[in-house]
Amino acid sequence: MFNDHYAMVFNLVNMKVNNPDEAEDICQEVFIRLYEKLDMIENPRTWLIGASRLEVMAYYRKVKPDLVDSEDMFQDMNLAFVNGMRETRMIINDVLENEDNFEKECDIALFSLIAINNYTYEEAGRELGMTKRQVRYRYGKTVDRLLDSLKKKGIKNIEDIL
Amino acid sequence: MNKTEQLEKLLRKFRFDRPVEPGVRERISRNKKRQFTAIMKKTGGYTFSFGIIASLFFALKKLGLGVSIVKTALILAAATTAAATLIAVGVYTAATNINQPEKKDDSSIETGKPVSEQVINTDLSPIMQNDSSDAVARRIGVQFFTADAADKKMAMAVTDIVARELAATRGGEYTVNTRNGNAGKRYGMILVGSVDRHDGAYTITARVSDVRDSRVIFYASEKVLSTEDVAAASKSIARKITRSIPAGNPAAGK
Repeated sequence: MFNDHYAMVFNLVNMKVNNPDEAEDICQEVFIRLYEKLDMIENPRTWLIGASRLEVMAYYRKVKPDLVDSEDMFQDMNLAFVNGMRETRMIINDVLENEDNFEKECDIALFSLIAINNYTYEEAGRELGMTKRQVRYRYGKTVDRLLDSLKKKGIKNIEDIL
Repeated sequence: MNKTEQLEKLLRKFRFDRPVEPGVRERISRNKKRQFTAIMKKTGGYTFSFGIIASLFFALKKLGLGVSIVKTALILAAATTAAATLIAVGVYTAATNINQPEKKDDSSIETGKPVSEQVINTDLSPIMQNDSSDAVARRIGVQFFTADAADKKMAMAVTDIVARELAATRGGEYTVNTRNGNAGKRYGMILVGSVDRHDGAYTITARVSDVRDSRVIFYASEKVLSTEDVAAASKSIARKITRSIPAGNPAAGK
Protein backbone atom coordinates (compact mmCIF):
# COMPACT_ATOMS: atom_id res chain seq x y z
CA MET A 1 0.00 0.00 0.00
CA PHE A 2 2.80 2.39 0.92
CA ASN A 3 4.67 1.56 -2.25
CA ASP A 4 1.64 2.09 -4.48
CA HIS A 5 0.47 5.34 -2.92
CA TYR A 6 3.58 7.08 -1.66
CA ALA A 7 4.36 8.88 -4.92
CA MET A 8 0.76 10.08 -5.27
CA VAL A 9 0.67 11.42 -1.71
CA PHE A 10 4.09 13.01 -1.99
CA ASN A 11 3.26 14.73 -5.27
CA LEU A 12 -0.06 15.94 -3.92
CA VAL A 13 1.58 17.40 -0.82
CA ASN A 14 4.65 18.74 -2.60
CA MET A 15 2.46 20.54 -5.11
CA LYS A 16 0.86 22.44 -2.23
CA VAL A 17 3.87 23.12 0.00
CA ASN A 18 6.45 23.32 -2.80
CA ASN A 19 9.17 22.02 -0.50
CA PRO A 20 10.30 18.40 -0.86
CA ASP A 21 11.74 18.22 2.67
CA GLU A 22 8.50 19.44 4.22
CA ALA A 23 6.53 17.22 1.87
CA GLU A 24 8.46 14.16 3.13
CA ASP A 25 7.72 15.04 6.75
CA ILE A 26 4.03 15.52 6.00
CA CYS A 27 3.94 12.24 4.08
CA GLN A 28 5.39 10.48 7.10
CA GLU A 29 2.65 11.87 9.32
CA VAL A 30 -0.02 10.83 6.82
CA PHE A 31 1.23 7.27 6.57
CA ILE A 32 1.72 6.96 10.32
CA ARG A 33 -1.92 7.91 10.76
CA LEU A 34 -2.88 5.42 8.06
CA TYR A 35 -0.95 2.68 9.87
CA GLU A 36 -2.70 3.48 13.13
CA LYS A 37 -6.17 3.44 11.58
CA LEU A 38 -5.66 0.79 8.94
CA ASP A 39 -8.34 -1.52 10.30
CA MET A 40 -10.99 1.19 10.11
CA ILE A 41 -10.25 2.46 6.60
CA GLU A 42 -12.26 1.06 3.70
CA ASN A 43 -10.69 2.96 0.83
CA PRO A 44 -7.05 3.79 1.57
CA ARG A 45 -6.54 5.90 -1.55
CA THR A 46 -9.46 8.21 -0.82
CA TRP A 47 -8.49 8.35 2.83
CA LEU A 48 -4.88 9.24 1.94
CA ILE A 49 -5.99 12.12 -0.31
CA GLY A 50 -8.22 13.51 2.45
CA ALA A 51 -5.57 13.04 5.15
CA SER A 52 -2.95 14.70 2.95
CA ARG A 53 -5.15 17.76 2.57
CA LEU A 54 -5.71 17.93 6.32
CA GLU A 55 -2.00 17.63 7.02
CA VAL A 56 -1.17 20.32 4.47
CA MET A 57 -3.71 22.66 6.06
CA ALA A 58 -2.27 21.87 9.51
CA TYR A 59 1.18 22.65 8.13
CA TYR A 60 0.08 26.04 6.79
CA ARG A 61 -1.70 26.92 10.00
CA LYS A 62 1.55 26.22 11.80
CA VAL A 63 4.05 27.97 9.51
CA LYS A 64 1.81 30.71 8.08
CA PRO A 65 -0.87 31.50 10.65
CA ASP A 66 -1.64 34.76 8.84
CA LEU A 67 -2.81 32.87 5.77
CA VAL A 68 -6.46 33.90 5.35
CA ASP A 69 -7.95 30.53 4.39
CA SER A 70 -5.75 27.59 3.65
CA GLU A 71 -8.75 25.68 2.31
CA ASP A 72 -8.64 27.95 -0.71
CA MET A 73 -5.74 25.86 -1.88
CA PHE A 74 -8.11 22.96 -2.43
CA GLN A 75 -10.92 24.85 -4.04
CA ASP A 76 -12.89 23.00 -6.68
CA MET A 77 -11.09 23.25 -10.01
CA ASN A 78 -14.43 22.73 -11.77
CA LEU A 79 -15.30 26.29 -10.86
CA ALA A 80 -12.52 27.52 -13.11
CA PHE A 81 -14.52 26.33 -16.10
CA VAL A 82 -17.79 27.76 -17.33
CA ASN A 83 -20.88 26.55 -19.13
CA GLY A 84 -20.59 23.22 -20.93
CA MET A 85 -16.87 22.97 -20.23
CA ARG A 86 -17.55 22.80 -16.50
CA GLU A 87 -20.04 19.98 -17.02
CA THR A 88 -17.54 18.12 -19.20
CA ARG A 89 -14.85 18.49 -16.56
CA MET A 90 -17.20 17.20 -13.89
CA ILE A 91 -17.97 14.15 -16.04
CA ILE A 92 -14.29 13.46 -16.60
CA ASN A 93 -13.65 13.92 -12.88
CA ASP A 94 -16.39 11.43 -12.04
CA VAL A 95 -14.93 8.88 -14.44
CA LEU A 96 -11.44 9.28 -12.98
CA GLU A 97 -12.71 9.11 -9.40
CA ASN A 98 -14.80 5.99 -10.00
CA GLU A 99 -12.65 3.05 -8.97
CA ASP A 100 -14.85 0.66 -10.93
CA ASN A 101 -13.24 2.03 -14.07
CA PHE A 102 -9.94 0.52 -13.02
CA GLU A 103 -9.47 -3.22 -13.25
CA LYS A 104 -6.91 -3.42 -10.42
CA GLU A 105 -5.95 -1.14 -7.58
CA CYS A 106 -2.47 -0.72 -8.99
CA ASP A 107 -3.99 0.60 -12.22
CA ILE A 108 -5.16 3.72 -10.38
CA ALA A 109 -1.65 4.44 -9.16
CA LEU A 110 -0.22 3.64 -12.58
CA PHE A 111 -2.65 5.92 -14.38
CA SER A 112 -2.04 8.68 -11.86
CA LEU A 113 1.72 8.51 -12.31
CA ILE A 114 1.70 8.47 -16.12
CA ALA A 115 -1.34 10.52 -17.14
CA ILE A 116 -1.42 12.99 -14.22
CA ASN A 117 2.21 13.25 -13.07
CA ASN A 118 3.87 12.72 -16.46
CA TYR A 119 6.02 9.78 -15.40
CA THR A 120 7.55 7.74 -18.19
CA TYR A 121 6.58 4.07 -18.47
CA GLU A 122 9.96 3.10 -17.11
CA GLU A 123 9.76 5.41 -14.11
CA ALA A 124 6.23 4.27 -13.29
CA GLY A 125 7.36 0.65 -13.55
CA ARG A 126 10.17 1.26 -11.09
CA GLU A 127 7.77 2.85 -8.63
CA LEU A 128 5.19 0.08 -8.79
CA GLY A 129 7.36 -2.96 -9.41
CA MET A 130 6.39 -3.60 -13.02
CA THR A 131 8.35 -4.12 -16.17
CA LYS A 132 8.01 -1.58 -18.98
CA ARG A 133 5.98 -4.07 -20.99
CA GLN A 134 3.62 -4.67 -18.09
CA VAL A 135 3.19 -0.92 -17.65
CA ARG A 136 2.38 -0.41 -21.32
CA TYR A 137 -0.16 -3.24 -21.25
CA ARG A 138 -1.91 -2.19 -18.04
CA TYR A 139 -1.92 1.49 -18.94
CA GLY A 140 -3.39 0.72 -22.37
CA LYS A 141 -6.16 -1.35 -20.80
CA THR A 142 -6.93 1.41 -18.32
CA VAL A 143 -7.14 4.03 -21.07
CA ASP A 144 -9.60 1.81 -22.98
CA ARG A 145 -11.79 1.38 -19.91
CA LEU A 146 -11.80 5.10 -19.16
CA LEU A 147 -12.67 5.97 -22.76
CA ASP A 148 -15.52 3.46 -22.67
CA SER A 149 -16.79 5.02 -19.47
CA LEU A 150 -16.59 8.51 -20.97
CA LYS A 151 -18.59 7.30 -23.97
CA LYS A 152 -21.28 5.94 -21.68
CA LYS A 153 -21.42 9.33 -19.98
CA GLY A 154 -21.91 11.11 -23.29
CA ILE A 155 -18.40 12.05 -24.31
CA LYS A 156 -18.33 9.98 -27.46
CA ASN A 157 -15.85 11.89 -29.57
CA ILE A 158 -12.93 13.35 -27.71
CA GLU A 159 -11.54 15.11 -30.77
CA ASP A 160 -14.60 17.34 -30.86
CA ILE A 161 -13.82 18.60 -27.37
CA LEU A 162 -10.13 19.03 -28.05
CA MET B 1 -3.41 10.75 -32.62
CA ASN B 2 -4.06 7.47 -30.84
CA LYS B 3 -6.49 6.88 -27.97
CA THR B 4 -3.88 7.28 -25.24
CA GLU B 5 -2.66 10.60 -26.61
CA GLN B 6 -6.25 11.79 -26.95
CA LEU B 7 -7.05 11.02 -23.32
CA GLU B 8 -3.83 12.62 -22.05
CA LYS B 9 -4.53 15.73 -24.09
CA LEU B 10 -8.06 15.84 -22.70
CA LEU B 11 -6.71 15.67 -19.14
CA ARG B 12 -4.30 18.52 -19.86
CA LYS B 13 -7.01 20.64 -21.40
CA PHE B 14 -9.22 20.26 -18.34
CA ARG B 15 -6.26 20.75 -15.99
CA PHE B 16 -6.26 17.31 -14.43
CA ASP B 17 -2.55 16.94 -15.00
CA ARG B 18 -0.06 17.82 -12.28
CA PRO B 19 3.37 17.30 -13.84
CA VAL B 20 6.17 16.33 -11.49
CA GLU B 21 9.69 17.51 -12.25
CA PRO B 22 12.24 14.78 -13.08
CA GLY B 23 14.36 15.76 -10.05
CA VAL B 24 11.41 15.27 -7.71
CA ARG B 25 10.56 11.93 -9.30
CA GLU B 26 14.13 10.81 -8.74
CA ARG B 27 13.97 11.99 -5.14
CA ILE B 28 10.76 10.05 -4.51
CA SER B 29 12.26 6.88 -5.92
CA ARG B 30 15.50 7.36 -4.01
CA ASN B 31 13.95 8.16 -0.61
CA LYS B 32 11.02 5.80 -0.64
CA LYS B 33 12.73 3.03 1.31
CA ARG B 34 14.19 5.50 3.84
CA GLN B 35 10.75 7.02 4.35
CA PHE B 36 9.16 3.62 4.80
CA THR B 37 11.79 2.65 7.38
CA ALA B 38 11.27 5.92 9.26
CA ILE B 39 7.52 5.40 9.34
CA MET B 40 7.86 1.83 10.58
CA LYS B 41 10.30 2.93 13.28
CA LYS B 42 7.93 5.63 14.46
CA THR B 43 5.02 3.23 14.57
CA GLY B 44 7.10 0.64 16.43
CA GLY B 45 6.70 -1.97 13.72
CA TYR B 46 10.33 -1.98 12.70
CA THR B 47 12.64 -4.87 13.51
CA PHE B 48 16.02 -5.83 12.13
CA SER B 49 14.57 -8.70 10.11
CA PHE B 50 11.81 -6.43 8.84
CA GLY B 51 14.48 -3.99 7.68
CA ILE B 52 16.16 -6.72 5.65
CA ILE B 53 12.83 -7.76 4.15
CA ALA B 54 12.01 -4.13 3.31
CA SER B 55 15.39 -3.67 1.63
CA LEU B 56 14.80 -6.74 -0.52
CA PHE B 57 11.23 -5.64 -1.22
CA PHE B 58 12.28 -2.26 -2.61
CA ALA B 59 15.18 -3.78 -4.53
CA LEU B 60 12.79 -6.23 -6.21
CA LYS B 61 10.38 -3.40 -7.00
CA LYS B 62 13.11 -1.50 -8.77
CA LEU B 63 13.85 -4.60 -10.80
CA GLY B 64 10.25 -4.66 -11.93
CA LEU B 65 9.12 -7.55 -9.74
CA GLY B 66 5.78 -6.69 -8.23
CA VAL B 67 5.86 -8.88 -5.12
CA SER B 68 4.17 -8.11 -1.84
CA ILE B 69 6.08 -7.70 1.41
CA VAL B 70 4.77 -11.09 2.58
CA LYS B 71 6.01 -12.77 -0.59
CA THR B 72 9.32 -10.98 -0.16
CA ALA B 73 9.61 -12.42 3.35
CA LEU B 74 8.87 -15.89 1.97
CA ILE B 75 11.46 -15.46 -0.78
CA LEU B 76 14.01 -14.33 1.79
CA ALA B 77 13.19 -17.26 4.06
CA ALA B 78 13.54 -19.71 1.17
CA ALA B 79 16.79 -18.11 0.03
CA THR B 80 18.17 -18.15 3.58
CA THR B 81 17.22 -21.80 4.01
CA ALA B 82 18.81 -22.70 0.68
CA ALA B 83 21.97 -20.80 1.55
CA ALA B 84 22.15 -22.40 5.00
CA THR B 85 21.67 -25.85 3.44
CA LEU B 86 24.41 -25.20 0.88
CA ILE B 87 26.80 -24.00 3.56
CA ALA B 88 26.00 -27.01 5.77
CA VAL B 89 26.53 -29.41 2.86
CA GLY B 90 29.75 -27.61 1.94
CA VAL B 91 31.09 -27.75 5.49
CA TYR B 92 30.08 -31.43 5.83
CA THR B 93 31.73 -32.30 2.49
CA ALA B 94 34.88 -30.41 3.41
CA ALA B 95 35.05 -32.04 6.83
CA THR B 96 34.48 -35.49 5.32
CA ASN B 97 37.24 -34.96 2.73
CA ILE B 98 39.69 -33.78 5.38
CA ASN B 99 39.08 -36.84 7.56
CA GLN B 100 39.37 -39.33 4.71
CA PRO B 101 42.80 -40.65 3.66
CA GLU B 102 43.93 -39.28 0.31
CA LYS B 103 44.29 -42.72 -1.25
CA LYS B 104 42.22 -45.66 -0.23
CA ASP B 105 43.60 -49.18 -0.14
CA ASP B 106 41.68 -50.96 -2.86
CA SER B 107 42.21 -54.37 -1.32
CA SER B 108 40.62 -53.18 1.91
CA ILE B 109 37.63 -51.84 0.03
CA GLU B 110 37.17 -55.11 -1.78
CA THR B 111 37.09 -57.07 1.44
CA GLY B 112 34.24 -54.91 2.63
CA LYS B 113 35.88 -54.10 5.94
CA PRO B 114 34.51 -51.31 8.10
CA VAL B 115 35.92 -47.85 7.40
CA SER B 116 37.58 -47.62 10.81
CA GLU B 117 39.48 -50.83 10.15
CA GLN B 118 40.47 -49.67 6.67
CA VAL B 119 41.94 -46.45 8.08
CA ILE B 120 43.97 -48.33 10.67
CA ASN B 121 45.36 -50.72 8.10
CA THR B 122 46.41 -47.91 5.81
CA ASP B 123 48.79 -46.63 8.43
CA LEU B 124 50.50 -49.96 8.92
CA SER B 125 53.29 -51.74 7.08
CA PRO B 126 52.61 -54.28 4.32
CA ILE B 127 53.08 -57.12 6.78
CA MET B 128 50.43 -55.76 9.05
CA GLN B 129 47.98 -55.22 6.23
CA ASN B 130 47.89 -58.96 5.65
CA ASP B 131 48.30 -59.70 9.32
CA SER B 132 46.28 -62.47 10.89
CA SER B 133 46.11 -63.65 14.46
CA ASP B 134 47.96 -66.83 13.42
CA ALA B 135 50.81 -64.85 11.88
CA VAL B 136 51.03 -62.65 14.95
CA ALA B 137 51.17 -65.67 17.24
CA ARG B 138 54.08 -67.11 15.26
CA ARG B 139 56.04 -63.89 15.05
CA ILE B 140 59.04 -63.29 17.35
CA GLY B 141 59.92 -59.78 18.40
CA VAL B 142 63.65 -59.53 18.96
CA GLN B 143 64.44 -57.03 21.75
CA PHE B 144 67.69 -55.18 22.11
CA PHE B 145 70.12 -57.51 23.97
CA THR B 146 71.27 -56.13 27.25
CA ALA B 147 74.95 -55.73 27.97
CA ASP B 148 76.20 -55.68 31.51
CA ALA B 149 79.94 -55.43 31.28
CA ALA B 150 80.08 -55.82 27.52
CA ASP B 151 79.92 -52.75 25.41
CA LYS B 152 76.72 -51.57 23.80
CA LYS B 153 78.06 -51.98 20.28
CA MET B 154 78.57 -55.67 20.88
CA ALA B 155 75.03 -56.04 22.22
CA MET B 156 73.70 -54.19 19.21
CA ALA B 157 75.61 -56.41 16.84
CA VAL B 158 74.37 -59.58 18.58
CA THR B 159 70.78 -58.37 18.38
CA ASP B 160 71.06 -57.68 14.66
CA ILE B 161 72.78 -60.98 13.90
CA VAL B 162 70.18 -63.01 15.80
CA ALA B 163 67.33 -61.11 14.16
CA ARG B 164 68.81 -61.51 10.67
CA GLU B 165 69.44 -65.20 11.17
CA LEU B 166 65.92 -65.73 12.48
CA ALA B 167 64.49 -63.87 9.50
CA ALA B 168 66.55 -66.01 7.17
CA THR B 169 65.57 -69.25 8.79
CA ARG B 170 61.97 -68.55 9.89
CA GLY B 171 60.92 -66.01 7.30
CA GLY B 172 61.05 -62.22 7.45
CA GLU B 173 57.36 -61.86 8.13
CA TYR B 174 57.69 -63.86 11.33
CA THR B 175 60.59 -61.91 12.77
CA VAL B 176 60.66 -58.38 14.03
CA ASN B 177 63.80 -56.57 15.04
CA THR B 178 62.40 -53.98 17.40
CA ARG B 179 65.70 -52.10 17.37
CA ASN B 180 65.03 -51.06 13.79
CA GLY B 181 61.88 -49.22 14.70
CA ASN B 182 59.42 -51.94 13.83
CA ALA B 183 57.80 -51.85 17.21
CA GLY B 184 54.44 -51.18 15.57
CA LYS B 185 54.28 -54.76 14.37
CA ARG B 186 52.51 -57.13 16.60
CA TYR B 187 54.14 -60.35 17.73
CA GLY B 188 53.11 -63.27 19.87
CA MET B 189 56.57 -64.12 21.17
CA ILE B 190 59.32 -62.00 22.55
CA LEU B 191 63.04 -62.67 22.47
CA VAL B 192 65.11 -61.07 25.21
CA GLY B 193 68.78 -61.69 25.66
CA SER B 194 71.99 -60.48 27.16
CA VAL B 195 75.69 -60.32 26.35
CA ASP B 196 78.02 -60.60 29.34
CA ARG B 197 81.76 -60.23 29.26
CA HIS B 198 83.91 -61.83 31.91
CA ASP B 199 87.68 -62.23 31.78
CA GLY B 200 87.69 -61.71 27.98
CA ALA B 201 85.02 -64.36 27.43
CA TYR B 202 81.48 -63.59 26.25
CA THR B 203 78.30 -65.31 27.40
CA ILE B 204 75.25 -64.86 25.17
CA THR B 205 71.90 -65.87 26.53
CA ALA B 206 68.51 -65.77 24.84
CA ARG B 207 65.03 -66.43 26.11
CA VAL B 208 61.82 -66.59 24.10
CA SER B 209 58.57 -66.07 25.99
CA ASP B 210 54.89 -65.99 25.06
CA VAL B 211 53.72 -62.39 25.35
CA ARG B 212 50.26 -63.40 26.55
CA ASP B 213 51.29 -65.35 29.66
CA SER B 214 55.07 -64.71 29.88
CA ARG B 215 55.65 -68.43 29.66
CA VAL B 216 59.24 -69.21 28.67
CA ILE B 217 59.18 -71.19 25.43
CA PHE B 218 62.84 -71.38 24.74
CA TYR B 219 66.12 -70.76 26.52
CA ALA B 220 69.69 -71.05 25.24
CA SER B 221 73.13 -69.87 26.20
CA GLU B 222 76.45 -69.81 24.34
CA LYS B 223 79.86 -68.97 25.72
CA VAL B 224 82.75 -67.91 23.50
CA LEU B 225 86.28 -67.00 24.41
CA SER B 226 86.98 -64.29 21.88
CA THR B 227 85.19 -61.43 20.14
CA GLU B 228 85.59 -63.09 16.77
CA ASP B 229 83.37 -66.00 17.87
CA VAL B 230 80.44 -63.88 19.03
CA ALA B 231 78.84 -63.72 15.57
CA ALA B 232 78.94 -67.50 15.14
CA ALA B 233 77.48 -67.99 18.62
CA SER B 234 74.67 -65.57 17.84
CA LYS B 235 73.78 -67.40 14.64
CA SER B 236 73.90 -70.68 16.52
CA ILE B 237 71.38 -69.42 19.04
CA ALA B 238 69.12 -68.19 16.26
CA ARG B 239 69.16 -71.52 14.52
CA LYS B 240 68.38 -73.27 17.81
CA ILE B 241 65.35 -71.07 18.21
CA THR B 242 64.19 -71.89 14.71
CA ARG B 243 64.51 -75.56 15.37
CA SER B 244 62.78 -75.35 18.75
CA ILE B 245 59.90 -73.16 17.76
CA PRO B 246 57.86 -74.20 14.73
CA ALA B 247 58.57 -71.75 12.02
CA GLY B 248 55.77 -69.80 10.34
CA ASN B 249 57.26 -70.51 6.96
CA PRO B 250 58.41 -74.12 6.83
CA ALA B 251 60.39 -73.54 3.71
CA ALA B 252 62.45 -70.85 5.36
CA GLY B 253 63.98 -73.18 7.87
CA LYS B 254 65.14 -75.70 5.30
